[in-house]
Amino acid sequence: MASPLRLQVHGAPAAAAEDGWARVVESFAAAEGALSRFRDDSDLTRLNRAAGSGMVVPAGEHLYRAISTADRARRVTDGRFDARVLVDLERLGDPGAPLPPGPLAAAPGPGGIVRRPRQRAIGLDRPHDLGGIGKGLALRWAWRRLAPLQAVASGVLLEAGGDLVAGGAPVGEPTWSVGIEDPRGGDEPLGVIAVRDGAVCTSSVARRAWRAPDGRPVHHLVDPRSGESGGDGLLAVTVAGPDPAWAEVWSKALFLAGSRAIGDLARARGLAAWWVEVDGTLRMTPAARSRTAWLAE
Amino acid sequence: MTTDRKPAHLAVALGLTTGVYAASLAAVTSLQASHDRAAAAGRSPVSAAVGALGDANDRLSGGIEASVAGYEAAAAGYRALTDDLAALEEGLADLGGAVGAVRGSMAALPSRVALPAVGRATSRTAAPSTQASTGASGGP
Repeated sequence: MASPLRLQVHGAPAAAAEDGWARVVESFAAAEGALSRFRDDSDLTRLNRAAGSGMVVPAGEHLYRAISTADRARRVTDGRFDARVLVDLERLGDPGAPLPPGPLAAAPGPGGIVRRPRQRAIGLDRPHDLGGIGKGLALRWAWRRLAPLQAVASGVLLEAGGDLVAGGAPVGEPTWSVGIEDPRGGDEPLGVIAVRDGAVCTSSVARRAWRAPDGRPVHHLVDPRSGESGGDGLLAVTVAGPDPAWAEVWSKALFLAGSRAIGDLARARGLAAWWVEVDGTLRMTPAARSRTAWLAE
Repeated sequence: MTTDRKPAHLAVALGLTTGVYAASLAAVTSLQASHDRAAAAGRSPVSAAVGALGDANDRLSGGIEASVAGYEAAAAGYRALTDDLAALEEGLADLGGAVGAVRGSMAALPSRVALPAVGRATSRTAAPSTQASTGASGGP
């Protein structure tokens, strides 16, 4: 994740805000230690190194929940979201912590996952990249730990690298105002979303784009159906919803639908989604329009 | 000398005969009453059964009358439902005609409408201040 964190607190004592910040830092550190594929000592790296071996290894609570949620997200999104894209990411030139080479054997179980809930143990058929859901889960977990702060504050907003979750509103304001960044650059947002209680997450190719070993321009949003960078015709997708993990999942899944299918998919799911096409046009679903406070002309 | 003899033996004979007859009649009457009592006692269960059968018949008649009334009510409801369905069918037929008319109108509409050029009359509003922004994250 390695995302910059920011906590805004309105209408609460300073001591409560400082306690909340300590909880956020602690929670994100625990999530990072469990879910990062870049750290050599993370729980995920340890699990990925056993992938394909048929071994079922103990996983920590965070990792077990994350793998379970990612597997559910794969099913709910009809396979558009799939954490089993790490091999493709590394092939495209985005390596994480070193993994053992060799052919990967498929393990039995739905989605190639074997789960032993009582032992909190997991076996994977393929290495996983939890980057598409890890930040949302970290926000969810940290937000739960902020319950004491939310009880005394008029408004709390927690940001982690472009994704956020908010409760209440600043003093004197009806809602939080969240700008949608222009993925082409520029200081002015493309739109402003009114958020009171909920999460907003964005998947974008404005950063984390590079050239593959064969010279092709690629980015980090890999379509599990093709193994290549996806999202034809799109630069960014923003989704608002009650939970940051699912908002992040849907922002990825909608992005990978591409500009032709994203509108129908988002409307069919009733999602509040905004997307920026390659020409800079901002489009949105009806559910998103009702939450939009301002649009750039 | 002639002696007037009263026929006392006739009176005695008549009395005795009458007494025998009365006794016989009393005995026969007693026997008849006893027999009648026995017959009545023998008929008592049959009378009770006949009474119960009558009650059951009355109840069955009441049930049949109630069933007939229910059947008539159901028949009336079915007739009303049939009328409603007929009305609904007529409404659907009208709606189908309206949809067809709308489709025809849609087909008649031009695919593009040339709007006259309009001079920009509104001033551009600046973005409101925001407390946060959502976008791409820089970290891995």
